[in-house]
Amino acid sequence: MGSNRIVVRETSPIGPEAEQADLEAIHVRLHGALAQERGVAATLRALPTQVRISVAGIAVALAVVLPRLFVSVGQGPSRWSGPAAVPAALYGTLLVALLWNALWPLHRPRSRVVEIVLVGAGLLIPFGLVDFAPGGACGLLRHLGYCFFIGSAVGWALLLLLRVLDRGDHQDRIVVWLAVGVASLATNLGLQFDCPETGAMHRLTCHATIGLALGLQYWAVIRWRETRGAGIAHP
Amino acid sequence: MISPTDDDLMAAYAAGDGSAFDEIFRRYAPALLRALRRGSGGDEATDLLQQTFLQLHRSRADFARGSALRPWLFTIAINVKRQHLRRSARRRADLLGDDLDRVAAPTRRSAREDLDGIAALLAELPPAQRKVIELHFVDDLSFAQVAEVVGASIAAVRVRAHRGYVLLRQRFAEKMRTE
Repeated sequence: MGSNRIVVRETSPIGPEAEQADLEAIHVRLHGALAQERGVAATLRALPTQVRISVAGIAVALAVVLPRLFVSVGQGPSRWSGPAAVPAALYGTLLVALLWNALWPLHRPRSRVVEIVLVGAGLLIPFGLVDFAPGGACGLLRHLGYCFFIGSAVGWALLLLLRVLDRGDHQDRIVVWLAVGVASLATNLGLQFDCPETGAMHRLTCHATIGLALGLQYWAVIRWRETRGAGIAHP
Repeated sequence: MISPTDDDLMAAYAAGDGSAFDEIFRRYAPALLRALRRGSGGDEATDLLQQTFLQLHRSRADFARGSALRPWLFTIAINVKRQHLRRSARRRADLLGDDLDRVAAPTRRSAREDLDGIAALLAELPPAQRKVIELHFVDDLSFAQVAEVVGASIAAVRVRAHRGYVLLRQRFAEKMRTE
């Protein structure tokens, strides 16, 4: 087997000297690339994966919980109901899985199937579980604007944070969609409990569509950047 | 002088010792470049190698002491290459076409050509078997290391390798008979 192994390697059209020259050139280029790895974004993505996930998890939790704190301070306890616990737990579980996969380190094998299933769930679950929570206690969000725009703004903040924490140089579209899935579920979960508008049609059109809208908006921005020569991958 | 272990080098690099990175590059870049060249063009492979080591730099805090660096790096390289291939699916189809043309074209036989043929037949194996054989046979990883890279049990990797080697031998024998 050993001799075969050697000869198979030799089938490379590149000779040893040319290969060595290639390696030296890559080494020099790498030093240049490593010199660029500075600043807040580089520091964040070089954090250990558990820390990156924790940072993103805190941001997601804030996006979900912060409006509820306002509700509790202003108007007393919200109208949390027992039956909402199961769907909320499903949202939470999916959020954790999406978050973990969106920041999945490249030194671990990835499962494309799992990623696609999670993206589908992140974007479609809000359409399926559209009406499980009783709505907001004080109508705080009504004073701030339409929930679609608030959800989109919060979703964009989460999406950008996840993109900064990602180490993959925006190369992989599925990772972008995983981040969109996180933003979709987090904003929908927050809105389920705090939006005063409890009609199913409102929740379908103004809440559930946020994820898809985020994906399309992100894609449009990237296309625009590409046409200006920035050249990063789009979802 | 005793050369430092991979573990020591990664620990030193994570602590900020840039020369440790150079030593890791010297040890693993040639094997990684050869692995990345399979199914990719020369320029693409060099870009992918650069990205692999950039990912090593970004992931250095994730490396657990006591882990094996070789499968760790190969997994990064495979994922980087996978992302690249997805982006250039059309080019990949062209490359596969080139491989098939090479198998189909009648040529004067030599030992070198036989082994080119093996490489082409390897490219035709089912992806799961091909990946295991490439890592085990060509890149010289142990079954335990291959299992770590592909994310399967050692037993599953052995089964895939066995089936792949059997298929490879059969197809090579058929090819020799028909020529």
